[in-house]
Amino acid sequence: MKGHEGTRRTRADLELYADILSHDILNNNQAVMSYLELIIATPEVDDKTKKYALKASSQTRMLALMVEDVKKVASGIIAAPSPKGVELRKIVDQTQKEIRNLFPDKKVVLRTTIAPSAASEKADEILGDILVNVLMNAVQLDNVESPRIEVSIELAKAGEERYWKVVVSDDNMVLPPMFKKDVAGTVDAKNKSTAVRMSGLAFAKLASETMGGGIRGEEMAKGRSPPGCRFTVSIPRGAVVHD
Amino acid sequence: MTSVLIVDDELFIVELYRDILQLRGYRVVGTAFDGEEALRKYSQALEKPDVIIMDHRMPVMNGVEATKEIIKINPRQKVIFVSADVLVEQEARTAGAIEFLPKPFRMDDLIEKMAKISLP
Repeated sequence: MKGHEGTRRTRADLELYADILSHDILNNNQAVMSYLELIIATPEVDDKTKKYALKASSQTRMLALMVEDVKKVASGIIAAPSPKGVELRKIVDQTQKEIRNLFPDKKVVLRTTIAPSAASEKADEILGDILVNVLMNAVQLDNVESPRIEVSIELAKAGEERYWKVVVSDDNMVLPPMFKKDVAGTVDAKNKSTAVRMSGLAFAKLASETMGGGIRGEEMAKGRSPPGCRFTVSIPRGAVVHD
Repeated sequence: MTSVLIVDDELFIVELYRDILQLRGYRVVGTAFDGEEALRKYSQALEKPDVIIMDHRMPVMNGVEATKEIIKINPRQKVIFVSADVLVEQEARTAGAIEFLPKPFRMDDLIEKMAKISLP
């Protein structure tokens, strides 16, 4: 068979192709997003059409984030944090901006609390990537026009080890079934169909676990409807902090 | 009226920038589809554009190389670098770009940067 005579591609080749493909997707996405912006800004366009365009715009922005995630996974960036850290405050500000941009059709209220232990710390950008991804899915899981989401970030301690503890919670958020059944920890090639379906949470899980941490999801008030839920991401400090 | 040269190898991106910039009152004085064409057109232009919008990944000559060459001709040339490749930001700034926008970006962000650097 001719296929056997072809060049066997290396991992580096595949990374390169993933990079080229995702680059082109982002280019196309840029055009879709921008023309939607033009429609939204056109005074003659009626409100209903603008609303649809805003929803489409939100989806294209999420698509861009997902493509970036694929690039990071394919290139191994999540396993090799960048050499210099970023002020945690800057990461939080950037995250808030990105969430506003991701959901131009909603009024997302994000309240972020940074514990004094973490206030002056630097963290790797991957912490921001994880937070944006969790928040993207949190907004979808809340599914109201004005989701109110709490974020708290602290440097916690377990024995001698310090780790980043990032908690994202929302009274109105619905816990994805896969977290309820506690199969989120068993994502592998054999059970793709039952893996965490929300790509932001899947990215957060992969990234945090790659660095030696993890993500946990739980309902907050079982008797209440909706019970609300929280996601707790932990990442060992050494994995992402640069002194 | 602020004049702009658009450099990108994708025709639909060039058309997009042109549509939006013209709507917002900018004068698009030229387009180029690779770094070498941009450099040639820039060198030959009697009136240099106020701003160049420069992509990175292009055939023949990439955006960083083109920016370096253009800055050699005119160190005060304002270049806004736009790329889906965020890892190239530092290289672009070292080459002489004064702003960097990662794709995809909001058009308002581009217009904001244009307004900021077009100020006398």
